[in-house]
Amino acid sequence: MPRRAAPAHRARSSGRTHLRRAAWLLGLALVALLVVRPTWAAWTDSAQLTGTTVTAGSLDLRLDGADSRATTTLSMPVMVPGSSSAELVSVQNNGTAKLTWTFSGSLSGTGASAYATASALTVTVRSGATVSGSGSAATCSGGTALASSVALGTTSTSLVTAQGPLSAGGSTSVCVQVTLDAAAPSTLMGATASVALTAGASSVVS
Amino acid sequence: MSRLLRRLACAPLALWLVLVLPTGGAAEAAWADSAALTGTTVTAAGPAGPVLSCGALTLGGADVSWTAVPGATGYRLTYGGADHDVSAATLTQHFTSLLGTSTVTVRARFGTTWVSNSSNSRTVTVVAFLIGVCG
Repeated sequence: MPRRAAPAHRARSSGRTHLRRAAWLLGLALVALLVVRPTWAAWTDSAQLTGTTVTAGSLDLRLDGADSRATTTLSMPVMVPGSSSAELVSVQNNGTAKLTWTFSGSLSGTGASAYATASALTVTVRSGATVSGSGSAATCSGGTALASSVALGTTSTSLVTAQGPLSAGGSTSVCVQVTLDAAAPSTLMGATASVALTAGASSVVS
Repeated sequence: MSRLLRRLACAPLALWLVLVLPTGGAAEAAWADSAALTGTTVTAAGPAGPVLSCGALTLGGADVSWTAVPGATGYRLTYGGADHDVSAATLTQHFTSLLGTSTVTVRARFGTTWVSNSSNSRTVTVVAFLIGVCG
């Protein structure tokens, strides 16, 4: 004669069954939530802000209208201590963006190192100045000094820090003077060097 | 107490997020352009000296002359054991009172400190203000 399960055992078995069902139902509910998502739709409308056109500006720095401007009176074929040459240059903003400008310079050629070591070749830059004298006895006079007797080296040397800003189409006149220092050593006699001067421009936000 | 400690510990993190993190953003760069000023060549006066020669024979003395040196601001003659500076425009020296014989040389001067190499030499003899010989 089979034995009947005790009431306590039946109660535990029934509890586990309910738990399994509850787990299944919870799982199904989660799957239903993930798969069957209700759609929501609201009325929408928009308004436009029109008429805005943007155009990038251009940055174009020139010296007397050229990107590479050859000097006419700065060269000196026979310098002696104290010799100097000078030339007026127009710094121009040929672009449409406002800019600030700088000047730097360096030496090259066979005698460059000798001049650099002796700090004997210097550059002076003045704004709004004029040229006095001529040849190897010319100087920049008047105006405002932007660089005063800065010795050139074989690497780029900053001469004039940021000036301006210069508006589109604007220009400013500067006088550039190259000088062989009065105390230059005689070991420089016969030495030749090329002087490279570069004007740099940076755009300005305004 | 522990909540207060946790808040204090979070403070440096919040400060880092506010102050340090934004600097790691995109760098701003202005547009750039350049223009060159070219063709400037400079040469210092060379060391070559003048060339000295004897001038025409003159009564009562002797002349020496020399070639001009580019850039010279003057010339320095050496004779009778002493230097004698003359201007850049002077290219001839007349000797009348050189009693006896002396060797003459000349150098170009450039400013106050530079001088060229010495020229070739000439020997000048002037006797009693009457007879001059250059050779």
